[in-house]
Amino acid sequence: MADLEPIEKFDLPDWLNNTALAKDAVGRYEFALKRPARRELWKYTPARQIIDLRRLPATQPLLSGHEQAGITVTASPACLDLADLVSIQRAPEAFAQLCSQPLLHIAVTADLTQPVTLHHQGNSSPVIIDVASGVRMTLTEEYDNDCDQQQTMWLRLGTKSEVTHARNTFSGAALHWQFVSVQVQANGRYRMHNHALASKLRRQDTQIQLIGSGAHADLNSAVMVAERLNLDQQITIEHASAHTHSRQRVHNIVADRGKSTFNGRIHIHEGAIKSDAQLSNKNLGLGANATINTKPELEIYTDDVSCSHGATIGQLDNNQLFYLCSRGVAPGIARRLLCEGFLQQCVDGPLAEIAGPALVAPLHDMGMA
Amino acid sequence: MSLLDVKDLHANVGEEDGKEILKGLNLQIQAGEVHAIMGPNGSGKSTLANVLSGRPGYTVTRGTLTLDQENLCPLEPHERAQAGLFLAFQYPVEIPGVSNMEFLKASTDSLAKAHETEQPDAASFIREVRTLAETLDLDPQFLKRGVNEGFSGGEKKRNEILQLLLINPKMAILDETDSGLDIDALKVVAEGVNRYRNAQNGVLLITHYQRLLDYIIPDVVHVLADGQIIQSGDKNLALELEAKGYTWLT
Repeated sequence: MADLEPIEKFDLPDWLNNTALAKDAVGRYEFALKRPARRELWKYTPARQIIDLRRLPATQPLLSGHEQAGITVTASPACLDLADLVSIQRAPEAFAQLCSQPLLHIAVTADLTQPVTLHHQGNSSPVIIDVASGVRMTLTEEYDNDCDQQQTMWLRLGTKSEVTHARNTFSGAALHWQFVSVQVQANGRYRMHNHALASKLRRQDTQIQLIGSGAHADLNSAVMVAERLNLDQQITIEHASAHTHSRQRVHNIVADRGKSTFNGRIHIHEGAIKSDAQLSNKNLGLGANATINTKPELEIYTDDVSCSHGATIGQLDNNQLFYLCSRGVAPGIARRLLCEGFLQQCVDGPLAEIAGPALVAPLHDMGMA
Repeated sequence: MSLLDVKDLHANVGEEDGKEILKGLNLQIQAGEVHAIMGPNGSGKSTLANVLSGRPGYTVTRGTLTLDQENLCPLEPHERAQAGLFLAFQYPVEIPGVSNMEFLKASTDSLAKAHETEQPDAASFIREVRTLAETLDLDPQFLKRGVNEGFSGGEKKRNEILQLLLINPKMAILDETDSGLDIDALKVVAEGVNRYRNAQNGVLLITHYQRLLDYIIPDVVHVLADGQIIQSGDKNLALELEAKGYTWLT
């Protein structure tokens, strides 16, 4: 943790001036970095390599689908009221990124018939998306460059709005950090479909706050960690209001000498009665030297809630393998089918068709063809 | 020459020093024949099915296994299937995420490749599988779902018969396929097996009860006890076992 130090230069962007957030920002940033919770988030991944990505010059992601009616894109807006969304305390590293780069603001005020796609060209400017009440949209992210990179994104969903967010992360970036923070107002619905390959070090931070009654979040994630690669997922879902719901299903395959880390935290706030949260993380190790760290967490500060969480770590099922082989399927193909099936349970959404084959491509290099 | 020829088969659970279950079993099935093996619990019926199909966890310590004159002993499970052996499971395995159709295509493609025959094109393959499913009262929607995932006991067994008809092996071993079936499902399964039967293939039925043999008439009935076949006869032997139990033989 000694490497998680404040950045040398800390200039607040203009749009943060005169807000409650701006007051004593540097002091609060330093304090946030030193909290024990920060240490936990960086327990298995060296922070310095990831945090240093903010020093890289950023470019705006290329957009498609942004010329529809109901969407407004503004580069570096003069003023945004984001004090409730952009929290130093929750994500000091991402906050620092927001302060060091120009940002892109996307406002969606009517239902979109076509998806909005962010084509990241490498290190991206921070993106803030505001979705108006009652509006439905599909957001997809693609990564077109193999250089070291980071992306930070803040999503704010108005009441009764619905956002489907699909992300295919298959770039060859050695170092990659993806940060997403989502706020969902009353009866809003956020769905994330995360499909990713590992890299030398890929870190995915996802923070979802269900802050209005009836807010709902679904998160499906399928990850393939090939040999000698790493992927670290940190997911927090906060049930800050009553009658909020969340479902998380995360399946990871880790090849020999690969490493995955999953930390899934569900936080039920005081007074958030009738909250309903489920989290399942299943991991498949394909070698004796695969490293799998998993920690599902529940923090509950109220009664009358329904919560479950679980994690499994295992290997391919010999009974399933024998069943396939007894039908003439060679062992290598049978193993590949089982791996595909394991991931396929979490492959869904608008990018699923591309994600399925891409996720299992590394299996061919492991003799599962 | 027998289609399936088992001579002096000794097999253990586990490694060579494991417990011996099969203790000198002999069995010859000619092409066109249906044989039934009955026997008390723990006699070695399912072990025989597992050993024939090459399931890991069993060791053949003595004897020979041949199918259509091909030695099965050195073959892996998938190679035995490619040689023409089929095992209908007592407890078919669920495989979430792998659709039934995908699984069936992988199986037929693998067998076609091994036999150096042309793999069926996707459209005609799907038509064939759907038609088979309908004849077995299986909703075609099941083909889109994970292999056996959420299937009832009867649906799982009918799915095994669907695979039998699709693969059309030389030799089918049905390991207690009748267990857990209601009478209507039993008839559907039996009809499927009877449809599969012909003068070139063979069937080995492993069962606890005579009831299945009302619908699939066996040519020979064997009694397996303590790892050996101790009695063989025609279909009337099954009726006698139903009436008297096994104690008069052991």
